[in-house]
Formats: sequence, structure tokens, C-alpha cells
Amino acid sequence: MSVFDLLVDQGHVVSVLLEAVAASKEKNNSSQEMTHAWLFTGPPGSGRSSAALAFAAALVCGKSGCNNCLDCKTALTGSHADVELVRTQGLSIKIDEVRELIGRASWSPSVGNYRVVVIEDADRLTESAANALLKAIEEPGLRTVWLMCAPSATDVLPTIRSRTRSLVLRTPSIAAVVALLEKEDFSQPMANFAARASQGHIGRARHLAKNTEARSRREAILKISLLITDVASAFKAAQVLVDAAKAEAEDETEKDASAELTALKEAWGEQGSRLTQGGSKAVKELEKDQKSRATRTVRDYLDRALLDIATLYRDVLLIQSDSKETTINIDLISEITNLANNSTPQATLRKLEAIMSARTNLAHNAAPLLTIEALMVSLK
Amino acid sequence: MSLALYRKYRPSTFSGVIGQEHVTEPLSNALESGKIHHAYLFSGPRGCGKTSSARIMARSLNCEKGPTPDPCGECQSCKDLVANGPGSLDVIELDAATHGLVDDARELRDKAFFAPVNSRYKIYIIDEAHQLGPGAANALLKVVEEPPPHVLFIFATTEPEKLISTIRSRTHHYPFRLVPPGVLATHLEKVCASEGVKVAKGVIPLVVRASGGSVRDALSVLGQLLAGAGKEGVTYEIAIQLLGYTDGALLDEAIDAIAARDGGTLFKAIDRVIESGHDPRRFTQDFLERLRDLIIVGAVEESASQILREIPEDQLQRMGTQATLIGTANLIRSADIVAAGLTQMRGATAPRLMLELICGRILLPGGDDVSLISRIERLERVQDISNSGAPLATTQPAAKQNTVVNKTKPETKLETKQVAKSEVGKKDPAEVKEEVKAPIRAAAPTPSANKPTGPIDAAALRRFWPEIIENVKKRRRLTWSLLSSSAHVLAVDDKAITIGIVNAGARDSFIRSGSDEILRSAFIDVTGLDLKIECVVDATANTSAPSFRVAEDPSDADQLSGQELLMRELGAQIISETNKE
Repeated sequence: MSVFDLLVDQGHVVSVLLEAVAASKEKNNSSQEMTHAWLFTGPPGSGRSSAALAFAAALVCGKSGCNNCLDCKTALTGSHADVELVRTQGLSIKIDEVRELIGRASWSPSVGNYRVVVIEDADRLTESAANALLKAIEEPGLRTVWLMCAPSATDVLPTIRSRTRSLVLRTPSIAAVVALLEKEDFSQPMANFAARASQGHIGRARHLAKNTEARSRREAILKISLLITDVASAFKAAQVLVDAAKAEAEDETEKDASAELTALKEAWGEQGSRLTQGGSKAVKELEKDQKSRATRTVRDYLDRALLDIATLYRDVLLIQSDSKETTINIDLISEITNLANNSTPQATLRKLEAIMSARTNLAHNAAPLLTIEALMVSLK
Repeated sequence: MSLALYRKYRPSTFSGVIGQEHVTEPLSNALESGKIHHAYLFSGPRGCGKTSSARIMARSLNCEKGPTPDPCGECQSCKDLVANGPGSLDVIELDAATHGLVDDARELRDKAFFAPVNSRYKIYIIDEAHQLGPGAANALLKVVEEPPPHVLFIFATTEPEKLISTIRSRTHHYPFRLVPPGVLATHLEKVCASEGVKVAKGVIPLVVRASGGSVRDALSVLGQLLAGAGKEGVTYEIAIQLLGYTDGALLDEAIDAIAARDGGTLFKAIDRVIESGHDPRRFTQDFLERLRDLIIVGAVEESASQILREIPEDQLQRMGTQATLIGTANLIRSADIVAAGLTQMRGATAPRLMLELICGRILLPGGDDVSLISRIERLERVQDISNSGAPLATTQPAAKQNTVVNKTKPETKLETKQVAKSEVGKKDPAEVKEEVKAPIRAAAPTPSANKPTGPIDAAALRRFWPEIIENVKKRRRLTWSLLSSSAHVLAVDDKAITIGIVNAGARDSFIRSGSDEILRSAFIDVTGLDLKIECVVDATANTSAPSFRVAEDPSDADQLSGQELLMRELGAQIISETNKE
């Protein structure tokens, strides 16, 4: 059992990492297998951060990543003394955080051989933050290793890219995801469906396979777009979709929001209704933060929904081009074939473009309902 | 952990800096002659030697036997300042990105006045200078302009335009450049030799290509390859695999599918790309590069081998066929689509979906709005003409139609260049026209004015005459001049449109010059009707009738030329013509 078993279908990356780990354990090794800065890239769900964490664990573990010892276990959860894990829930990683990080990164390791800094969302570094990292990742301390993760190499500054060794993770093949799900005791048809519907995103596949609610929600979204026949139904569909997004966002944020607020008030010494000085400001900031998080949740939900709808039309387009093997939404195959027979590839492509431009507009902070209405009308 | 190659092979003298002779030579000369400025600015893309040069400059200046371009390497300062050495107290390297606040600048300004500890100069190297905040940069201005005699500043940055101009104007600016492939390749070979690793032929060019001319990128990539090297050294296969370059065969398959407009094969090729673990982004990038190569091959044909030197002859021949099959216009359009798609692939969107969307766009021209509008426009017109009579009065004003036609014209041109094989293409009149390639000769002038009009009404067609003439004008001026003042629509049936031309001379030159083809295309463009053009002499044609007369703009009269001008101004008639050849 090794920490690298957690990676699905990434044989080429694992072999590179294993060699690096082996080289890192030898003193006076002058080969190039191990280096001080790595950039893990790969599509969402391919396990970039798992790969980086597994590598970090293997570096601090005495047995090259046994996944049994305390070092491995704490490293994987990010609580190891020598593994610094940078994660953000916000939109960006700010320069102040990075400055502190650089200071800590130059310390000597306390228990293991290496001090490892893992930045999970290197694409979320602000420009100034990324620039502040440059010197540190070019010539770090003797036993410091930087591991950065980003969706693609173009998402980080070219100056960062040129200082790091890049490792590209692949989208796990459908077969590999199916095998994984079957190992986790899901039935073959279910595994097959989930693997295809999630397009190799392991987390989503597992979520779909496990969760009936998620499955029915996905189906409802796809059906929405199938049911549009005229302008009236298009507007109705848009309303349904946006309402669903808002409900989901409320569900998700309400839960944490009130708990967070109580915790914060407690921290500021709430006695009766009065907070100590500065407390109300902090509460206000938190509320603002929560609101922006809620907006982001709505937007993310809609974006995911639009991508699901896009996969539907992508299937239609592929069937119209005589390519049936790779259908993503196999559960709706009859509807898709129907749609394919009743329209031209041009029309399908136009719908796909409409979905993509709606996504761009949403990302640019357009009013969600308006955008979705416009989209649904063009999908009719 | 050993040092990364780009740190291990950091140069310690100007002679070791490669590809930057335009900077290192003047600097060496300045050191030699002692003409030393108090502030320098080194700018250039990532990994081309700015920071290294700044350190070398400091080392050269502080050498006990210096200032000299060839530091002795024996004195204390030289030993301290050698690459990966311990550093010297008098050479202060600052990271402006982390020390870019005004307080940092003030502190620096205060400390700058202290004399150096044991060297000639106290040198501040301010790296990533573009991150210097405005407050900090302004606080430095005075000291950068008139520093104490023992102080020197060297700024290094990738983005000199971000540095405020008042700092820039106080420095000597040395722009660094990316390193040319030849020089970089020689350097990489030297590195491989001193690392003692055998590298197969063809690997170094791959590394150079991946680096984009940056030495650090190149050494990073090379380090990765050396790490993956087996007993036989770095083989070509290992390199391709490690660098993630797309297999040439996969690219060929995709291009062939586009040439054949075969969606099924293209999407299957993409499936193979994904399933074999290639990075979709990498594939898209390689695909774009292949399209670029094809455009070059299509443009220069014979001498392509001189420009695309690294591509073997048989591959070039295959690419030549592909380029002709796809057509230059289509290639450029495809490349545009791929380039635009590549930027959309940033971030977290499902890359496979994006790749498939790109392919859809390439395969199906006319998915975009402009060409769609033009198509609808054409369909509506045909319907209008077939209905004829009353509804015509309610169609859009001519002016509006004109603008639409103008707008859609480039689209139409593009479409006509594409091979019309796609299933949907068949519905497109313009593309159908391409399929019917046989040249249509004008039929013998039979008086057909009395024929009963078909479902399409000649009167309706006449309404479009001014617009058609305008369209012809854009296509060929000669045809326009023949038609504009002396022709009109006589009749139309389901096979041909009959044009009446005032005199036989004009008609003959109309037919001889192949103008019927021009007129036919104009009809297709404006009305969507694809019919033969027949020409008859119709002396009775009253060209001054307002309904279909196109008045020649008086100012345009001097644009007429040759026989037309003679005929018009002097009433000349063509008696005979001789062939010039």
C-alpha cells in the first residue's frame, strides 16, 4: 500500500514521482530526478492536489510513502509539521499570505528531511502574489520543495512556469473510472453511467453514483432543455433553472453561515447583544463575505448546469456526425437520437455556442435570470 | 537533492551568457574603459539572463583587479559572488515583489549612504522591479538619480513598461532578447555533454521548441528529460512522451478528417487523443502549429522544405496534398477557430468538450450568425420572388437590403471557396453553385420575351436590378459598365433569366468577356436564384424608364474606359476585333 495508490490512471506521473522520491532519499545524489519546484497540471477531477499531497507525503515519510506511518497520514491531511498546505475558499490567494508563506518556507524541516509547500490553487494567486513567489521558488532553501497545482500551465505566470518542472495529469479514462467505482461496490451499469456522465471527473462520478438526489437533479436539468418547444416554455425553463440554483445555494450556505456567525460573535465576546470593540465590523465583514460566497455558489451551480446541457448537445452533434461510441449521457440516448434526427448539425453547433456565450456572460457577472432566459430562447 | 540545471549552469562571467551579445559586449566594453553608469535597467522575457547578468555585473565591478569584464575568480569578492556562492555583504539582492513597499524603499535609501564593507562598490540588485509599488519607486527616485559615488543600482524586470518612466529615464536600459534556436541548441548540447548523458538526435530541437527561446525553460525541460533517461540516455520516444507532444500520426488523422469533412473520423481521432492520455490543450496547441505549417506549405508550395527544414520530405508531400484539399481560406479560418478556442480552454472548463466544440466549428461553417443571416436573407428573397406581385411592396426597403448584402458578402466569398460536401451544405445555394462547376455558355440569342413567365416573376426580378448591378460593380467593373446603362431583365423562367441589351456590340462583348458568369453570381448573391443567363439584343429597351434604369452617376462617366467610353461618348460601333496575341 503506497500513497500513490490514491491516484487513478496516472501511471506516467507516478513513475516520475517514484523516481524522484527514490533520488530524494539518497544523500549526495547528483542526478536530475529530484528538483525543488514542481507544477502539477491536469483537468479538474484528475487529482492534481492528491498527486501533490501524495508526493509530499512520500518526501517526508521514512519509507517513501507507506501510507501507514504517522508522517504519511498527517501529510495527506495537511497537518504534518513540515508540509505546508495552502488552500483557499475565496477567489484568490493574496500577497500578504504569500509573504508569510515565503518566510516559513525557508525554515529548516523540523522532523523529516524536507519542508514541502503545497499550493493547491496556484491559478488563484493574484499577480502580485505570484510575483512575490518568483525568487523563493527559483532558489529556495536547501531542503525546501515547492509543489504547485493548476488546471493548465497557461493559468500561471510564464515566469513561474519556467522555474518549475511540469507534470501533466491526464483525464482518467472512462474504463479506469468504471473500474474504480466497481471496486467501491457500485453496480456495473451504474459505474458506467456515472463515469461517462462525469467525463472522467472522479469526484463527480462518485457523487453521482452515490447520491440519488444528485442523479435526479442532473436528469431534471437535462430534461429542462429537452422540453423547450416555444418561447413561453423557454422562459418557464429558465425560471425553474435559476430557482433551483438559488435553492441549492441557500441550502449550502445557510448551513455554514449561521454557524459561522455564531462562532464569530462568540469569539468577539458576545454578551447579551453587545460585542467588544471592533466586533460589529468583523461581523459585517463576515456577512459581506458570506453574501459573495452565496453569489459564487449560484454562479457555480448554473455553470455546472450549463455544462451538463452542453454535454447533451455535444452528444447530439456527435451522433449527427456518425460517432456514437463516446456518448456522455447514455441514459437519455433515445431523446438525443430523436433530437439529432430532427435538427441539423449547424443548429446544434449554434446552440452549443449559445451555451458557451451564456457561460461567459455569467462569468462576467450578468444577471443570471436574464442570461438563462436569453439562452433558453435560443435553445428552443 | 541536486541543484536544478538552470541553477547549476548559471554563468559567472559575461562570456558565459549566451545569445545576448548586444548587451554583454557594450557592458564589457564599459567595464574595460571604466565608463560606469550608476544605474542600469535589464529587461527581457523570462529566463534569458537578466538576473544572472546583474550578478555578473556586480562581480565584475567588485573584483579586486577590476572593474574588469573578466573577474579574476581568486579574490574574496569574486569567490563570494560566484554563481551559487555565499554572496557578499556589499551586493544586496532585493526582491521588489516582496519588498516593494514605500517603507522598504525608505530603509534602502537610508542605508545606501553607508560605505561598502570591503569592496569597491555597494551594489543594489532590484529584481522583479515591475512589482515596485508607485510609492516605493518614487521614494527611490532621488537616490537613483544622484547616488553616493560608491552606490550602483541594477534593476531587472520582465515588464519594463510597468516600471515608472522616471526610474527608467535615470537608468541605462539594456533589453535582453530570447535566445535564437541555433545558439540555444549548442548550449544545451554542451550541458548534456558535461552532465555525461547521451541524448538522441532530434531531442535537442524538441527541447528548444518547448522552451520558446528561454534558457531557463530549456534547462528545466532538459532536467526533466535527464531525470527520465534510461541506460541508453534520452531517446526520442522518451522525450516525446515526457514532453507530451502529440503523436504525428494522430495529427495527420485529424487533418485528413477535416480535409474529407468527415465528422465521424475526426471525433473518433479526438476520442483516441483523450483515451491515450494526451493533454487536450497540448493537442490543440500542436494542432494549431500543424495548421500553421499547412498554411505555409499551401502558400509557398515548392520551397516549403526551405522554410520548414525540420520536416522530412515525405511528410511535406503529404502536407501539400492536405493543404490543397482543405484550401487556404479554410485553413486560415480553422486556425483562427483553434487559436480562439485555445484561449477559451484556460481555466477549469472540461477541455474535451471545448476541443470537440472547436472541431464542430471547423467542420460546420455557417454556425455563426453572419453567414446564417445571409442564408435566411437569401431564402426570404427567393420566397418573395416566387410569390411575386403584391407582397413585394411590403418587403424591406432596398437600402436596408443593400446593407445586408454588403455585410454578408465576405462570408459568401469564403463559402464559395469551401468544398461543398457537407450534408447541410447542399441546402446552401452558394455552395450548390460550386458543385455545378461546368461553365455555362450563354445560349443562342433566341427571342424569349414572349415566353410565359414561370413561378418567378420578371417584374419582381426587376426590382432587384439596381441591387444586382451594384453587386456586379463590385465583382467586375467591365461587366458593370456593359450592363449599367444598356441592359434590363426581359423575362425569366425556371431555367434562365433573359437579359436584353441595347446593341449587338455590347451583347457580344458581354458574352465574350464571360460576364454572364459574373452576372449569374450576382443574381445568386442578391436573390438566391441560380439560373442561366441568356442575352438578347433588345433595341427597344427603354433604358431611361425609371423603374429599372440605373442612372450612371455623372461623376462616374470618366470611370468608363475603352470601347464603352467610345460607344457612349462618340456613338462608336465595333466593326471588327483582332486578337492581340
